Amino acid sequence: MWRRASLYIYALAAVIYLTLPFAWVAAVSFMPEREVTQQRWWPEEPTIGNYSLYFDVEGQSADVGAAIARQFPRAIVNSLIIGTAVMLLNLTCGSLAAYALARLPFRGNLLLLLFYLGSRSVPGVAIMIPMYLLMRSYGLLDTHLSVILSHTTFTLPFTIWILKGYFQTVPLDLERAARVDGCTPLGALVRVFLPVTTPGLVAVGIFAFIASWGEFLFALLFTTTIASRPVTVLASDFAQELQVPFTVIAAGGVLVILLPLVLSFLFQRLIIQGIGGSVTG
Amino acid sequence: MARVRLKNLTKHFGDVVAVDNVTLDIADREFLTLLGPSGCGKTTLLNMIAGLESPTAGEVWFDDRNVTAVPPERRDIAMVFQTYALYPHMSVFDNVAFGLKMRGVPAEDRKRLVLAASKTMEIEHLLDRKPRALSGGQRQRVALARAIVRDPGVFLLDEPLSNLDAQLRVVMRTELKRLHGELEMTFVYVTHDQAESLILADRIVVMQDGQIQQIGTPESIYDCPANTFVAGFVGSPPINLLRGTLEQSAEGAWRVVGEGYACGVPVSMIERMKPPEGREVFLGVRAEDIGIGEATSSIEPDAAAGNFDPTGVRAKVVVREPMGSDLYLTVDVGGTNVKVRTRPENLLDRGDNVGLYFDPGKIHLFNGESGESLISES
Amino acid sequence: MTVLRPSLFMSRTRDLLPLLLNLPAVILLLAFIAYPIGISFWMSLHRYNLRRPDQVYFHGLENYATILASSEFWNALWISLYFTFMAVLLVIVIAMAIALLLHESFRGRGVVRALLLIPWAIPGVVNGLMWVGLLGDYGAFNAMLEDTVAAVNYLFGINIVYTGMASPFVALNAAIGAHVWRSVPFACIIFLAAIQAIPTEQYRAARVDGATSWNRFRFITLPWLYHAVLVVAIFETMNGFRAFDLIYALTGGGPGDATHVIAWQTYKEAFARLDFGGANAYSYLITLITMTLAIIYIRLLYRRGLVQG
Repeated sequence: MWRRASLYIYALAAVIYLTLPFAWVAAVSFMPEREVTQQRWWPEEPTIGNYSLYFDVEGQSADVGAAIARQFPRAIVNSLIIGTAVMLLNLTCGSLAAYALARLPFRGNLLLLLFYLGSRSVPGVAIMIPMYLLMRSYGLLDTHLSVILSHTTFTLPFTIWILKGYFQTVPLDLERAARVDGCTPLGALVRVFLPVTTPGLVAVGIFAFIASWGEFLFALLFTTTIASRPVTVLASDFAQELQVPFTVIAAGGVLVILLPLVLSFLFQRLIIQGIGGSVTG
Repeated sequence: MARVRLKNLTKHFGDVVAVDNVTLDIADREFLTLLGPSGCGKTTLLNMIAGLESPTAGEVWFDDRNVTAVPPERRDIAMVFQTYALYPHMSVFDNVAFGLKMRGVPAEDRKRLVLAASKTMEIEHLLDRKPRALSGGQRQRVALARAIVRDPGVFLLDEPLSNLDAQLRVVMRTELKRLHGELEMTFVYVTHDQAESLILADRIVVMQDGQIQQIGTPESIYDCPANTFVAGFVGSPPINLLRGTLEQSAEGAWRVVGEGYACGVPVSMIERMKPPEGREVFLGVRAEDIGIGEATSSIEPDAAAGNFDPTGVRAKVVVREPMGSDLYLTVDVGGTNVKVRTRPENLLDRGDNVGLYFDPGKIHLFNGESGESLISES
Repeated sequence: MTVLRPSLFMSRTRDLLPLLLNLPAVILLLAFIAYPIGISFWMSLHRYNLRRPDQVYFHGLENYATILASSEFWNALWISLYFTFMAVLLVIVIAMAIALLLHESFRGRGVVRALLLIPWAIPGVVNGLMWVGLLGDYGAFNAMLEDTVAAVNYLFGINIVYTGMASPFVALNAAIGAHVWRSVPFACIIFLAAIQAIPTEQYRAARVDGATSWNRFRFITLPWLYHAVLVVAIFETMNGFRAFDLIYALTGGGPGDATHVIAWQTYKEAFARLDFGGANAYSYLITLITMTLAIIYIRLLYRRGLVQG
């Protein structure tokens, strides 16, 4: 009995730890400005006024921060474009490489694995200047492509690592059965291997998307205008402007978080299994 | 329908020789089992027949066609895997139909053939399910249906029963024998279970270390094992092997004498015997070929050499194992443990001394060094 | 008998296909990681300030000498080491506690597991902004901290002045707390997978042998998790040294230089002072430090691996 009770208290503490910071910010996003100054936990007169700034298409509002907020929808579209491209690049390049590493014995596979592992351990700040100069010299500054390429390179090693582990859990006999049933090697890959590994592919795809969505450093360096700025960079502008009410910032934060949050809820099981299984296995 | 011929087939994995120069002729519609311990190369051999592994050297022929370089999808084969390898993302129907679909069989024909095969395997009620919703036995039936539906010339089975529990294994064993009777296909069946092999096969190929040890009917493998390995691997419990010396008495009669026993060798056997290189032999005798005499008070050798019983064995019971219809006794004969099968009524128990005799007509003699059989097959 | 020797051509195609499949990934990583890191090293050996574009020249290790002689570097390194050490420690402890909880079966476990991913899904910048609010003048956490400090002052009859994020001590540790909060889920996922891989017979056997629940944790769970703990430690050490977006949004490096972690310092060298040579030398030093730590961890992993067989 005592054990049960202490377990639930323990669980409650974990839930509070994991959710309280975000829950407070979400609550604030529905508060009128004066309620925040009263250090409240819950909006007494909830309002969606903070959000309306973000969808003020005509640009009539002259409130502080409105100029930034107005650009949000466009920035979200930018983030979507970048994230989707990063996900697709990760899946294509990553699954090809991981398939070779998991299935085809060849000379140099250990070397490649070490190369991938090494690439993963290079900190972003270590290559930011050459990357910046590289992008500048190719005229890619302030384009989606520059951000897509940089995000792909820092997510790809992880993707390959996870997928290799995942692919190795698929029994070789499945592909052999497909061959005996009349598939060419490519046919066995497309008709049997890929459908069977879909959960793993979805997990790393979502992972890459969320990582790209949240990346900041390269996005900040490479983008200068709303033509390419993703939403994280736009949100950081709030940190520079001193007079924006926190209620408005909170609403923006909630908007930025919404998509990754929904994705991680939807694919929670796949992500936990995919990441957990491969890193320790 | 196909005759399968393997010519000097060899497979190396790096420095490991998995299959070593195997030549084998499998008749059309034959049920052939490849029997051996794990790692003996039998699965590699099967994979080379399927085309899933390419041989390092040698050729595979189906009838008059050299298929060595033909990929598996263009060989006329079907295969059942140890893990069944059902496609987890397809329904049972789609699993069975997949091979037909890949070969461009029209949809109506596919349906008809799948239903026919499902009927044979009694899985009609499972067609809409996914593999993970099936029991082990049901998966096995689906895997078989998937293989027979295409009516292949050669049917390859890789330890298909080893993942089933003991009872189901007996049922599926009978099922397989029935299938082979109904279908006109060549069956090549890999197993490490000698009982399965004896029950199912027209011919058995016993393998060890990538080499064929013996090819023959179940009877000839059991009755005339080519060497101590085959003798020990086929039959349950394993054959008893005793070290001994072959000697001839003054009267010209032959016998084998070893620690704690002596056993006469019949003239008919001496006549078929290859000239013994040395006197050192292994005497092989199966548990059911040992008779039990009176319990004796002592196993001390009879001091009077003149009284020596030429077929006498002095033994002491070590373990008593009742098995329902039979009773197995493990006895000590001159320091070697020997298994004896007897009637369950026998009351002998641990510590009892007993006289045994080996049935001279059923003994096997092997070269004491090489382990090769000394008796040529009649 | 025909002997089918794999011809030179055949054996080449055998190796060619896997290399071909790796090619897209390798090209991307070579172009955007290996090449930049090479250029970065080359630039670190130059005097290269964007303000003086006419004066770009090679001057060997001088940038490194300047950095190693500067108090800014040592301050940043010290802050980063403290930041990383505390972060790794706290992440491991908190993630382990939650993983152990999630391994127990209780009603509502699914809910806790679903909520686990919330901090992970929040981008670093937004996380920083969130904590700005939480710890700012009107923040809920700030209120709690103020009340706590007031209570402590009253109880012990002392007079600690709480200045919130204006205090270097509070700012640095708040940054660590926010960083840890976001890092816990990933570590927790890894721990959970490792815990679930422990055979339950081990616990039953220990029970039969009379081990208490603490002893079962100490002698079964922990040894089985050694590998996972090291993996998390590697990941989190790397993350600690590259913490940037959070600092950018939460403290902007301040107050003063209290939260000048080394990644922030590098960014400032490059884009505030426009000293590309110096910034590259900085970034090389960071890479060197993280690589050294990673090698130490990996050696530990392998040594343990050998012992366990």
